[in-house]
Parts: sequence; structure tokens; C-alpha cells
Amino acid sequence: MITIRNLSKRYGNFEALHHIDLSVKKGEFLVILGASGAGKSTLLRCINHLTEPTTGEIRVDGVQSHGDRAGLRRVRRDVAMIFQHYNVVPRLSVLKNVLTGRLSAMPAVLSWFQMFPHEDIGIARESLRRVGLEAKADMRTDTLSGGEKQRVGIARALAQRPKVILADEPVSSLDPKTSRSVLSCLREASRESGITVICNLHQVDYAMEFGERIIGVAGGRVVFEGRPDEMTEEALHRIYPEGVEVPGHDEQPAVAPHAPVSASAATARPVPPLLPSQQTFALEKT
Amino acid sequence: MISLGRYNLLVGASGGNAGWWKYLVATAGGIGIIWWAAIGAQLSVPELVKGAPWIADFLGRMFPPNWEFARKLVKPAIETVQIAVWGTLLAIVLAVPVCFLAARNISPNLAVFHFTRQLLNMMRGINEIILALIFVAAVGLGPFAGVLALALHGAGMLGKFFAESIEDIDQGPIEALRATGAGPIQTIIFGVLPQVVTTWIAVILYRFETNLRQATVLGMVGAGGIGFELMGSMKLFQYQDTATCILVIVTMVMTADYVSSKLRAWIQQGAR
Repeated sequence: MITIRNLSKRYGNFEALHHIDLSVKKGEFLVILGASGAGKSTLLRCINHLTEPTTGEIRVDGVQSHGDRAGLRRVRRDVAMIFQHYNVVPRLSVLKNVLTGRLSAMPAVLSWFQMFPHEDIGIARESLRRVGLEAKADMRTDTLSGGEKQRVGIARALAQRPKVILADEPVSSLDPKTSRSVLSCLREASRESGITVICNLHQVDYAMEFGERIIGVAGGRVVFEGRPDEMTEEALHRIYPEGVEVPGHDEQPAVAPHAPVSASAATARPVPPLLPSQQTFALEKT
Repeated sequence: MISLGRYNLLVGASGGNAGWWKYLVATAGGIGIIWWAAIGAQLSVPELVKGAPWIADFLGRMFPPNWEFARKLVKPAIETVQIAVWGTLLAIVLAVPVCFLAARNISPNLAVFHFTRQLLNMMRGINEIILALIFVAAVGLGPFAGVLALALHGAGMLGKFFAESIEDIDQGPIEALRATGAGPIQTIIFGVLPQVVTTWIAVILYRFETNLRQATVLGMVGAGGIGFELMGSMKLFQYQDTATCILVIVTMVMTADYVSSKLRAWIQQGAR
């Protein structure tokens, strides 16, 4: 579905991506794992031309698109994106936010006057149903919680009827329980419609749990590639040269005491026992 | 720190080699400029004292206001409001298309951004009265010249404020809309406008208030409204009529201030 050849991106003297080669199969749920600043976001943003790569070739469904207007519209119609900060429009209703996913497919002039085809409204409502928010369709989006806003973001992506969804740190601003439900929601959607998902994460345990395949990125290079059960302690050290990050540690100081545990817990085992976020999860339930 | 009885004089220590001398020079320079300006403006306390009886005489002649004259002011007063309404409306119509080009984050490129910003600066730089004089020459005496003057100056003002509010919005939703493949106008309508609409309404209300105040003096250069009656009564030495004019103007301006500040407060409250 996606083929990336020799992709590099430089910002001045800083090389954000270094000769990346990557291919993703149709319907695959691929996790890109890496520390902040490893180049995950740049990689994702290159795919839908939010960032122009310095060199390299990206094909989506066999088509290589260029930075011109027509090329942008074509690739962006097929490739939907989900953002860390949701990026929903606060003052619009939930339904209208989801409808913005249909904008590229409907008559532009009518949309300026808030006229939407029945068909597109139907698609938007169906997308909302799939993320479990159909009851909140008419609410203003800024009245929703963080997790709900991200579901609106997912619904907006689904409404695009995309071939690919790029999710850039979709759960970094959410608590562990909400994070799991949002990621499950994304996984269900991708399975139901055979959508390819590339999901950036910096939390090892979520990557193990949700990824069908994991690409480890550090310093702009691919340093690991394989199934979650192929992840080794040594690979983790390559992905996190500075040590394993504690998920959400900046938002939740209460988790910080567990930090030493994570370094030893996030080791070679396929499913590491009680990683920090799972511990928080358990604490919440008791 | 200097001790003065029960008080300490707390001022920051002076840095650098020049010590306190540089402050002395700066103070002397400041006083020099003020003195120079006073000479140019011919400030004069004796003149003010000498003129005081004349001012008193003038005020005396204005009293009591001629309430009969108020009836003749109803039409010009209404015309003033009408000028302000259309001046504001046309200003919005002119400002809206330009403001997107003049916002750094939406503008297609830097050249367009600087050009539109300078254009708005020019429109804003010329005073309404001067614009009114020009438009009176162009379209003739009457309120329409006033409307055009307010529209042009107001467009410069509104365009700048609109553009600045666009620069303050959250970029995230804009990026998300671009990523869905939405066109530039769709991005503005669904991403930008919902984020700026309350700010814009507040700015427009404020502009209407200012335009009403300006419309009351446009008549002095023949551009319609109540200002014409004000000038006329003064030229005919009908100072009691002048007093009525001034009272009507003050009432109108205060009412507009009150209503628009209430409306703005109401909108901002709803904007939470």
C-alpha cells in the first residue's frame, strides 16, 4: 500500500530522516516506535506532504504524488491523519467536524454555504457511530473530553474513506485507560474497513499491545523492524539509547516512582509484565 | 538606598561607567523636547487666563439650550446613525477579503502579506475628515461621501484587527483541514472563521461605535449628518442651538458606547 524508498529530510544541517526504506501492506497496523525527536513525525508528515522530503520516493497505492496542487489533493484524499492534539475545530459541532473529512469529495461552492450532500452526512454519522459518539453529534466539540475529541478526530479520518490513516502520537495527551480505548477504536476501524494504519507511539507497552509490526526509529534511522514478539532488550536499547521513556510521565507525576521499574520491565519478553502505564491502569481500577 | 526618616528611597542601582550622569542627560533631553514642543504650540497660561471670560461668555450664550431646535435635529441625528451603519458595513465588505491575505499564517506568500499590510496601513493612515473632503469633491456634498470616508478608513482598521486575530488562532485545526485535502476557501470557512468569529463581532461593534462618533463631525466638511447643523448654528451665532446639538451628539455617543459594550460583554461571555 505504501512504499518508501531512500527517504531523507534535512532541516538545515540537521538530518531528521536518513535514507529510510519502508513498505507497508494493505490493512496492516504498523507502529512506529521511538523517542521524541527521533523523526517519527517527520516520516509521517512526509507521506501526506505536510512536509516535503528532501530526497526519496513515496508511493501510496502505487501512485507517487508530487507537491503540486492536484497531487496534494489526490494523496490527501486517500490518506487521513490523526493528530496528538486532536486538531478538531472547537466551535463547530461534532458532526460538522466529522463532515470536514468529506470536504475534498463534495462540491466546494455548496460547502461554503454549509450545504452538504445527504450521502456525505450519512457517511459522517456512520463514522461517528463507529467511534461510539453518535449521541453527541450535535454538541459543540469544545464541550467534549480529551478522549472524545480524539474519537472525533478518528471519525473525521474514517469519514474520508481513506486507504491509509496516519496517526501521529494519537494518545500522548490522554490517560492510560482512555489511551487504550482510543487505540482499540482505531484498530477496530482499521480491521473492519481494511484501512492501513501507521501509528507513531513513544510508549513501548502500547506498541507491543497494538502493533502488528513495529518499526523502531532512532536518530532518523530505522533501527528495528519486526513483530512485537521479536522485540528484544537489545533492540529497545537501540530505539531508546537514552533509556526507556515512562509513558505520560510529564502529565502524571504520580507515575514517576515507577520509572526505575520500567527500565528493567521493558525487556526482551513479548509481553512485558506490568509496564508503568499498565500499573497506573491497575491502580485506577482498585 | 537612601534613608529619609522612616522611609527608604528604593531605586535601582545605576549600571555602566556613566553612572547617574546618563539619567541626568536623558532627563535634560526629555525636558528639552517638551519645552520645544510647548514653544511651537504656543502654550500660554496668560492667554488662557485672559480668555477665560470669553469662554464663560460663550457658555453663557449657549445657556439655556434651545429645546425647540431638537425637533429639527431628529432627521440629521438619524442620518448620522445611517451613515455609521453603512460606513461600518462597507468597511467589513472591504476588509474581509483582504484580511486573509494580510494574516501571516494564512497568506499565500510573504510578498502578498507585506503588500496587503501596507495597503491597510495606508487606508488607516488617512483621517476620516480628510477622506471625507476628498469624497465630497468626488461624489458631491451629502451623507454618501461620509459613508465612503468611514468605509475606507474603517476597512484599514478592521482589516488589521481581523488579520491579527487570525494570526492568534490555533494552527492545529488548519493543518488538519489541509491534511483532509480541503481547498483554501474551505479551510478558511471551516477552520479559521469559527475560531475568530466572536473576536470579529467585538471588533465590528467597537468600530461602529467609533464610526458613529466620527459621523457626528463629518457634517463639518459637508459629508452629511448632525455635524452640518452644529456648524450651521455656530456660523449663525445661534449658540443655544449649538448647545442642543452638542447635547444630542453626547447622548448618541454615550448610548452607542453603552449598547456596544453590553453586547461585547455578552458575546465574550458566550465565547467561553
